[in-house]
Amino acid sequence: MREILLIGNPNVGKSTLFNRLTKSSEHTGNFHGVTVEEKSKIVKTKTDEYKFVDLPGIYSLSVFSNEEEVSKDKILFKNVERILIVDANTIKRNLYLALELSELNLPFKIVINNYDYFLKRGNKLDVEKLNKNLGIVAKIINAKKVKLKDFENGLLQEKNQNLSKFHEKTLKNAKYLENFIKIVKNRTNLDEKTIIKAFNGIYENLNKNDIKFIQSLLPEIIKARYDYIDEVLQNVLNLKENYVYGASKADKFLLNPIVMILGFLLTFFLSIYVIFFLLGPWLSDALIGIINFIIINPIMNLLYSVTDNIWFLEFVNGGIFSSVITVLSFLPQVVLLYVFLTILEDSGLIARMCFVFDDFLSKLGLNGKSIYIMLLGLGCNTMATTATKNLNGKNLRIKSAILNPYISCMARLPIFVIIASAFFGSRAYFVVVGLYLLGLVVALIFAKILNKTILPTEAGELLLEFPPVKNIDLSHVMSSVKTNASDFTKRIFGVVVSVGIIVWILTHTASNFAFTEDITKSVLYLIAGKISFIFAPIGLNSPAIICALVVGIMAKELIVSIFSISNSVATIPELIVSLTVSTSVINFTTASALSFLVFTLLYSPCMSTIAVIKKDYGSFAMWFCLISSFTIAYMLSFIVYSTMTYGIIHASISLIIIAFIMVSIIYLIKKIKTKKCLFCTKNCNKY
Amino acid sequence: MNLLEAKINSLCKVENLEISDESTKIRLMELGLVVGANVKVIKKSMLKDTLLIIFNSTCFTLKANLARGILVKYA
Repeated sequence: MREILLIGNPNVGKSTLFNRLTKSSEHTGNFHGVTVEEKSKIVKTKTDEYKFVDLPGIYSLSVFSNEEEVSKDKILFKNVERILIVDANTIKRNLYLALELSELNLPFKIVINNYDYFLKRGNKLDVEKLNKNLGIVAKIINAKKVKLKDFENGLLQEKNQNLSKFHEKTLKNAKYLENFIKIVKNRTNLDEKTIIKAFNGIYENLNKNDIKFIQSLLPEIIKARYDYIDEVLQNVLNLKENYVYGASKADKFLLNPIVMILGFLLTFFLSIYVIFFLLGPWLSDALIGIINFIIINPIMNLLYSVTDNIWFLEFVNGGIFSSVITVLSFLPQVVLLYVFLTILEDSGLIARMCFVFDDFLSKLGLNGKSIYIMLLGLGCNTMATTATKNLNGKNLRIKSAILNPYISCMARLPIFVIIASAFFGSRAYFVVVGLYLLGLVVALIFAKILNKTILPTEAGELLLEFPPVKNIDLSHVMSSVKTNASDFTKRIFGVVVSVGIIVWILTHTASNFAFTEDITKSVLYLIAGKISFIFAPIGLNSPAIICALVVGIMAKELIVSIFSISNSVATIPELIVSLTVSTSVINFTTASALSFLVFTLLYSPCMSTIAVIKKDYGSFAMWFCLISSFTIAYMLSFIVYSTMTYGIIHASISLIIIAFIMVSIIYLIKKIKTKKCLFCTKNCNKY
Repeated sequence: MNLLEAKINSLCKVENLEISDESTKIRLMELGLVVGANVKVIKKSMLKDTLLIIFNSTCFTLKANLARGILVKYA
């Protein structure tokens, strides 16, 4: 099997090419650093078997961030083939990495992407002359349209391209490193191979003085490399006068902070309104109608005709179908919201948002790039937590991972919409918007507290390449819709069905292990009843609600599923009505409903997010995230519930007590801070 | 004059690269910022903490506290 690495600068189209070659649907976007981890897939063709590896973007081998380290490690592997993807618009900078690879004698091939965009802007590139100057065949491709068959017959036909020619040209003809090698040799006992490796950030068996000396030469070496690239591109590259890749005329308008902030908030909340409150019910009804007609009704009719076992029929209908249906009915809305986020990402607006918000977020100890993490969090907290690796600075990464769960993900939206619709009628939409804003405000305030206490942000940089503002590629939007719809459905049929079945069994099994239709006599109800006193002060003392919250830690979608199982309903309208009826197993008052919404917004990330935090940042970060989110959720729910139930005076006293607790906690945290870094893990603080 | 003081849309020449953080200095150079090259400041953020600058025919954002180290004069 041939292992083929797709390497190159950030945002040159590596993941797009990977997706085309492997028929995958990995996340892509018009933003620097979308890929933060290595991704691979094996593809078999008639003639061969390939393992394509999509690596995070890397500007040079003198790595600057975590994801560049991942790429560098892989690039240096033996027995791999490398394809360097070069953006025609920034070819000069992209060839810098090519030179480094050739210096290390690492075979690679070059493909030039984004050539159409380059030509449309009036630029010219003489590819034949470029190949002649380079001594290597660089091929033009369109990563969005390339086919594996063509790729295989063209670029992959030769296993190792004639690197020797390129190597010879760059090292022997250009001789740009020769002088530097001599200087180092005169000063040290190092051999040429070791010196060249050190010029590329590989310091094997070198002492500190040698490293320091070599590093002092780097500015001159970089200049020599660029001089050589200029030589290669002479009479080859003809950029239109004043051509700038990334800047757009629309930036005059888009980079205005007021336009950006208001524009984003208005667009986002309008999208929520249209998707969840205007179109949503119609779309859900249509989808559920179709599923009932095609799948559920025929199956249930068949089962009714072959058995009259109530337990079994109830299990299939209530345990499987109703739990799936209630969550699945939100599929159209979730998919539409992903369309919004995909458009935002593809358009190049995210980098602009990073720039606009960088000032403000820096004051809170975050960074402009945190905006990207938050936007991903609106879709999926797990994905956003993984993307924190894109940030520079250990404390910033940990802080972003801890704060990310306060940004409401898609899985929480069905809960918000159902409960808000049940208790707040025409004001439901504003309650949902308020919850989003509450999550954001809590995240920002907590960021400031962490910055002042245990996670002060290191002096950070926002060195970010600006992508161009691009027209929306509908095929990519559709592909994103397909991927997200598929992920959402897989989650439902994986987690929701399996956990739904377990919960159904626990809610229909009495303590003597007999089947019971009365959930209040079930095992789960009895267990939850034992801890209900904890939640009584926030108005959530019903064991069934506690069951929903506990199960919701697995996946937030399950909360709605538990509601429908507990109240024995199969549709969203039925569920909405049942929540307001005091005889239902799960029911709320207006105060407890709002308290529940606030608590659900903040109380815990889902299991997969927890797992990513533990994997990337260690156990302490995970426990800190869990305990702090639960505490904040509890305190805010308490304020909401006590204000609505007992009035403002009671709430004020509560606030004073809570403020006292908060100050004590912060004081304690500050005390701990002086002892050691609490978040140190084996991956601690390299970048 | 440093980059912060430069007027928006004026072309400045990098006279020297004095950046306290050595790795950032190297990275800026690897991205094509070299002594003697032209840099254009096209936007300053609201609090002037972040700049949008052009060098090597590409648009980059850069934190102003780093840009302070880049000594420039009007070309």
